[in-house]
Amino acid sequence: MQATEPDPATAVSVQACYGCHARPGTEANGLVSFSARSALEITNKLKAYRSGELTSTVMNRISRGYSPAELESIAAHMAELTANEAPCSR
Amino acid sequence: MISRRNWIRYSGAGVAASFIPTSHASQGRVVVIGGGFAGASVARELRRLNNALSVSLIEANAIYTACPLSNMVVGGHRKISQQQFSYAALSADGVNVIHQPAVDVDPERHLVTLRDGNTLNYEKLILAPGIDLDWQALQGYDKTAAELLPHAWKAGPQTTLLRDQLRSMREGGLVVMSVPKSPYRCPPGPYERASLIAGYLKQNNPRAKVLILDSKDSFSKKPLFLSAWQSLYGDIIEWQGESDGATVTAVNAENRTVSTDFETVQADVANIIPPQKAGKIAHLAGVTDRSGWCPIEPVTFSSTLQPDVHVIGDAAIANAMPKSAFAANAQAKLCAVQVTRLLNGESPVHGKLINTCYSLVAPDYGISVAGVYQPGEKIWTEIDGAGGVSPADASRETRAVEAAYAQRWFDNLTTQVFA
Ligand SMILES: Cc1cc2nc3c(=O)[nH]c(=O)nc-3n(C[C@H](O)[C@H](O)[C@H](O)COP(=O)(O)OP(=O)(O)OC[C@H]3O[C@@H](n4cnc5c(N)ncnc54)[C@H](O)[C@@H]3O)c2cc1C
Repeated sequence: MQATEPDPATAVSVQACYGCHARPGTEANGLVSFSARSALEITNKLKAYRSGELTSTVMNRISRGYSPAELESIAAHMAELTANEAPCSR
Repeated sequence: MISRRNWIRYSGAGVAASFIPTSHASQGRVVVIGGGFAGASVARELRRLNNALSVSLIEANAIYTACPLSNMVVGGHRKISQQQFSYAALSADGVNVIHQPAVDVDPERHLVTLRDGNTLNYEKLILAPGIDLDWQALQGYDKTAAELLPHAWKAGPQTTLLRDQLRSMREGGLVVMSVPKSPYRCPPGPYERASLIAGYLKQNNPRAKVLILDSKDSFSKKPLFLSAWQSLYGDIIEWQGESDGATVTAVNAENRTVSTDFETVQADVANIIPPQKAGKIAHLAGVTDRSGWCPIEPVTFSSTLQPDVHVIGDAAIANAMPKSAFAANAQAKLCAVQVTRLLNGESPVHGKLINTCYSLVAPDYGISVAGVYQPGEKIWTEIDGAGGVSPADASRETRAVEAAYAQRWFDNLTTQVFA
């Protein structure tokens, strides 16, 4: 990982997201891949799911488990991993 | 308790700054027992986090047969081969995969014994043996009986046996399912199975019925299942709970009868899902408590009973987190981080975990339950206000979307773990 190290709790949370979403660098057979999405775009989406402004199947239920600040760090880390597609990721 | 002391010692030595710095990574020796969703995930993840680690994975079978979507095999919509995965990718990642059953663990000497007599030494042991069926729990239900009355709760020959029994059942026959009390593997699994069996019968044997004899009164996604059964399958499925006296206490395999305290039911096909406990090796390692499952320190998944042993997946007591493949994988990723940090002398991380379980009421009708969890001092709790089940009034389009997600979730997870 060449990127600035995220705080470890954020890194753990993001790994849980990859239970459904394709991990950057893997075959894109996850539900929604984050390829080419910016941190801001992901943050806005997550916050809209959290507030209920956007509706989905499970994302409203899951985003409510995190504070807006946590969602921001998660989004930033996800965007970074996607952008890097580091040699150590699959 | 030694593990507690270790934890405090490690927290004291905490190097807060970075996530697993590979520069001063230790050359630890980790042994993982069990290569299911929990064990295969943790082995791979450990190597990804620190490729200087020596990671051995001990797995009894050369091919893993996954349970999620195996009810679609029972219902005739998938082939068993679509459930099967090899360990080649793990070997390619530098995991030392050993296809042997582990037959003993000596936690004092940090030693694992394999069936062929070889032993392995570890600094950290991760136990991920999944479940064992409790062959003492139901009168008349032992391994031989299961050849006649399949449980199909470990995917493989049992799954196809149940499918084939359904296919050859007489016209208008009765399928009886016995469902245990919680906790057990995959809380909504029995009801998904009843649904897909009903779908098969509706198409192929329309006068046949499914009777669910349940040892509890409520179950995962109950209102959603009941209303979907009504609209998709009419009166094909009948469910009886504990208050109806439906707790199964005995079976007779030769006669195919299933008994509660109140009646004996003659089945044409009987699917007996017996009570369960952590896989036997966990008992031999001394990490189970009286419940038959493994108590853990929530943050690290380390055993509260033996030092340097972690337990993840179905075998662990993760409290609010269900025994699911999703949870097993999430726990594995967290455990890999913690073990790597502990071996580096760093303090464990507090992280939240997620679970999402889809159930297919029909191949194009999915419902889900989700939760977000945080570790407390003693237990994993579900975060209030988050999580929950699919809406009761969702459209058929939404149900179809969730059904498609169920399949894509499976493909994504199995790619991450095995491909
Ligand atoms: C019908 C059904 C449907 C399901 N559907 C879903 C679903 O839709 N979503 C979901 O998330 N979950 C689902 N599950 C649950 C899921 O299958 C389990 O929660 C998951 O498999 C647990 O993973 P595990 O690694 O703990 O155990 P397992 O997957 O059982 O893996 C344990 C492994 O350890 C090996 N092992 C055990 N003891 C030893 C030993 N002494 N030596 C060597 N190897 C050993 C075994 O061979 C096995 O490969 C379902 C389960 C069933 C039965």
